[in-house]
Amino acid sequence: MAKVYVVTSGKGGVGKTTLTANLGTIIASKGDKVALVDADIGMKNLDVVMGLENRIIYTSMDVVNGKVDVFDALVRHKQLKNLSILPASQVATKEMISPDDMKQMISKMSEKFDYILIDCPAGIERGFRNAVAPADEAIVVTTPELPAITDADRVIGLLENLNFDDSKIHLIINRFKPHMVRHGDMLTVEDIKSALSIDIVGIVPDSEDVIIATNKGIPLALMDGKDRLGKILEDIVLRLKGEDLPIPTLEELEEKQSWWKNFRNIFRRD
Amino acid sequence: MSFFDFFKKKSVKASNDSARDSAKERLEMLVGNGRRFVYKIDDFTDKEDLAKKTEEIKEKIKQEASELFKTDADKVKIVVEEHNGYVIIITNINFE
Repeated sequence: MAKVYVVTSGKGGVGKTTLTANLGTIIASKGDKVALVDADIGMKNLDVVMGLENRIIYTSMDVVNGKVDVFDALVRHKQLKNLSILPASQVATKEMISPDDMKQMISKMSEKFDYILIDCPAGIERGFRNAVAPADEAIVVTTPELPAITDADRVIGLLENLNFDDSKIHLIINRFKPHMVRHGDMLTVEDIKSALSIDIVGIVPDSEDVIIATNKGIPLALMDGKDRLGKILEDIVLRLKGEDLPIPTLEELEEKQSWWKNFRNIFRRD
Repeated sequence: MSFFDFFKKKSVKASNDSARDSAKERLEMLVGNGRRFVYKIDDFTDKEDLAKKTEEIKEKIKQEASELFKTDADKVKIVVEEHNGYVIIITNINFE
């Protein structure tokens, strides 16, 4: 039986889809069978981040309507054959699928996969309830800004109401900017942790590489020369699997700049 | 523009307050500094009784909050929502 995670946040644009794609890719690269489920019906993006948008024939909507079996709707990744995605329809709406439909689909998929990651839409309405219904554990993504943190707090509260134990809710702080924390311009990891009272499973520093990877349609985890971010994401996966790895310090998160970049910064007028 | 101004980065800081301090203070106001509390309401079968008790709780919170924050009671707004068998109490205090 697969372990089912929902990647959620409340607020949109915090990096749920990118993290779903990358965490799924890393788990699959270690040999486990992984399925990524796009629950953002009507506003799908997971296929685009994975570079699989041209391979979609059927979507989860076709499965719910009984047109095809769930396994016929899955799209396999080009490089990692043990990684598949269940795409969402672009034209349907979230109300066309119920939490029970999602439970049925995921339960069937569970038989053939080790891990299932559900990319939850923004908001706390029907799309959220659909995505959360079949999940065993939740990954809450936030950025270090107030609107994202307050929305994450609301989502954590809703997850608790849906009987998710605190140990089953994991927090990822995305787009963290260590230099801003050092200058007192951004909330620290401790500030966020104390406000949300949830264990942090990882901190992902802000990186232009994420934009490059998304534009190329290649998950960051599969791009060459991205060892630093790759290691950070890999450690998140290990923590999710139960390994007791320390959370990186501010210094460890900060990217060391080359002397040339530092020299150029002296003359730069922001 | 002097020679040294050329090397000076444009500052965006409008005041001496650190953005982190301000964000931390606002975050504490918004989400508090501890666990969220959830209460099961499964035991309430009498809807009228539930509505009455809800109003009593709202009034009590309003009173406590206005005393604690030294503000008028009408500046305290309380919204009670029900989600899957739980009551969520949201308290907004409007400070002048």
